[in-house]
Amino acid sequence: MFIYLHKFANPGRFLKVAIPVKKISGFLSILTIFVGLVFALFFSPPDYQQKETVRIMYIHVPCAWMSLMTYSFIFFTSTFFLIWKFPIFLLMAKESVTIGIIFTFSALFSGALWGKPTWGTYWVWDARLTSFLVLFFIFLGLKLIKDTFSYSSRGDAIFSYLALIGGVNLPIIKFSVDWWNTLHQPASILRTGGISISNEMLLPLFLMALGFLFLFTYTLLLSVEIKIKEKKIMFSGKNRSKNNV
Amino acid sequence: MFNYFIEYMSMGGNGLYIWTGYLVPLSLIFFFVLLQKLRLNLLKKNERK
Repeated sequence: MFIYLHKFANPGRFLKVAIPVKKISGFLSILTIFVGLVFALFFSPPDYQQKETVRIMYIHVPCAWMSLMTYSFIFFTSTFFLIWKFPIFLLMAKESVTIGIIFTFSALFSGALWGKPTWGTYWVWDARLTSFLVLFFIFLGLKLIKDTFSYSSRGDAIFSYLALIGGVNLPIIKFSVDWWNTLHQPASILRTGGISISNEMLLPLFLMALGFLFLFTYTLLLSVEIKIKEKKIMFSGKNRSKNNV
Repeated sequence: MFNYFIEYMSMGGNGLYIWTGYLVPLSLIFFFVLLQKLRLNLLKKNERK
């Protein structure tokens, strides 16, 4: 595995693979999100209790899944960076932060809008909502470190260690609905008793989640490409000014 | 037809919550991607120079 990964430590070689993958995932994300939206807004049935408000689920749940997935990605890439010191891992971890902020904010925002008609309030300090808000603050902390120490190895280490420490919050978010009495409903998909929602609702949910996964891949690779090109221009500019001196 | 459209948009009286719930996250994602695309195009132009 190490030898295989070593090949992609070279940014040029990495981009050769990343650019076609980026294009394919961009196309697939548009397609899946479009089909998912059509199913979510037109073909999925209203819930027997929540009626039409259940449609917020098709944006809220995929955003929440993606924010957890993004943080897990940052956690693992930071760990790999600390073990193998490949800059590409750190670059991917850092570029995922903004995407994570967008997904987490979207999950919190759509959740608040779902809460008002179903619970009668936008926000309650229950374990699931609070732990998710903590995740949002961890993302903001990572963004602050990333932007403050742009080109320092000390900043890289601080970023990676904070990403590892923040990983403690992931199981807390997942199991908060089981460990504590919460207003937020328990898990309906990833649970021991099996899936507890109908297939008509499951299809748009999975389509949207898949679309967001492709979107994450696309935006991540786009951001990594920008960063690599920025560094290339910066270093070529430095070399040019050295030659002029 | 128009009445059906209005009824659909109102989503049983919760239209504002549902449509805002979709509009804000999707626009955030859209503008982020757009901004990154513009940044990449600008970099490509600079690279060519």
